[in-house]
Amino acid sequence: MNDATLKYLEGLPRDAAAASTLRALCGVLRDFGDSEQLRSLAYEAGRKLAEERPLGECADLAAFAEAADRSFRESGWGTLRAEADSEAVDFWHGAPPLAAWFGADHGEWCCGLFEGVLAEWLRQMGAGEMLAVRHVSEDGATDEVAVTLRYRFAHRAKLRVAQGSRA
Amino acid sequence: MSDSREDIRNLFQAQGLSGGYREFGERPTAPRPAVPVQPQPQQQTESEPKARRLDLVRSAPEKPQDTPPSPLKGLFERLAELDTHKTGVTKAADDAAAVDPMHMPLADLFELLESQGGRQ
Repeated sequence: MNDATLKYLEGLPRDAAAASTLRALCGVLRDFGDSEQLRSLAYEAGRKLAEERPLGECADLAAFAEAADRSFRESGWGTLRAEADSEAVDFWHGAPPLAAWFGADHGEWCCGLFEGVLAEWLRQMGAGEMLAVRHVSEDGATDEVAVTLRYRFAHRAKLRVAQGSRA
Repeated sequence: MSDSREDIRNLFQAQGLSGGYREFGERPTAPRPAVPVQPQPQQQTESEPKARRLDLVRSAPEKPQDTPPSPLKGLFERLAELDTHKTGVTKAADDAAAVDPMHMPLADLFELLESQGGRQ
């Protein structure tokens, strides 16, 4: 097989192989650290992902949610919408890829990945150290209803989040 | 009568209100003589006077009521001013309730969320 063929094969998308690799990696990690350590690891990975996909300037939360949803869809991460009141912002993450990437029995710590993504984007918008993002609930996950994750963005005191996890 | 009371009486008289002030126990001054009513010219027919009087009543210009300014006026004005220029906490709470968090500038939203930290 010549170099040109190998170069062609090297450039092919290999999503299926990537997913199975991630699932194997997730299984190994689960045996190593406790869930909070793994959550921090996933959170930092999410921040890196957001740094690679900056949203650009957003005037308000509606514009932010729209830009974030677009980026989610383009990246194959699912969908995103936001609701807010004067105390917190809730982000609803539809059709998340966590089960496909990390297996159906992935731990709750995997949600740290998108906590990190959202937190980094919000930090880029000017959110301070006292604000944080935390996965708070999961709906659906039945044969008929798709999974929807909910993340809350609020003051740390409202979320009981460790100081180490930045906004 | 003391000088101050004399001053007050003089003030009333200067304002044409000479009958309006009297000492406690003092008898009211005699009523002012009634202003003589000018007789109407008698050129109208017998059926006209009643109709004309009604017409006069209808067309009489409304007398402006010279009500003195209420001492509460200043208080009401001050309260209205306070209502439109609310202070501190009240204004911040009203503003937060009035503005949709989805459409407020992100910097303001972050500030609002941070301010919730102390409220448990």
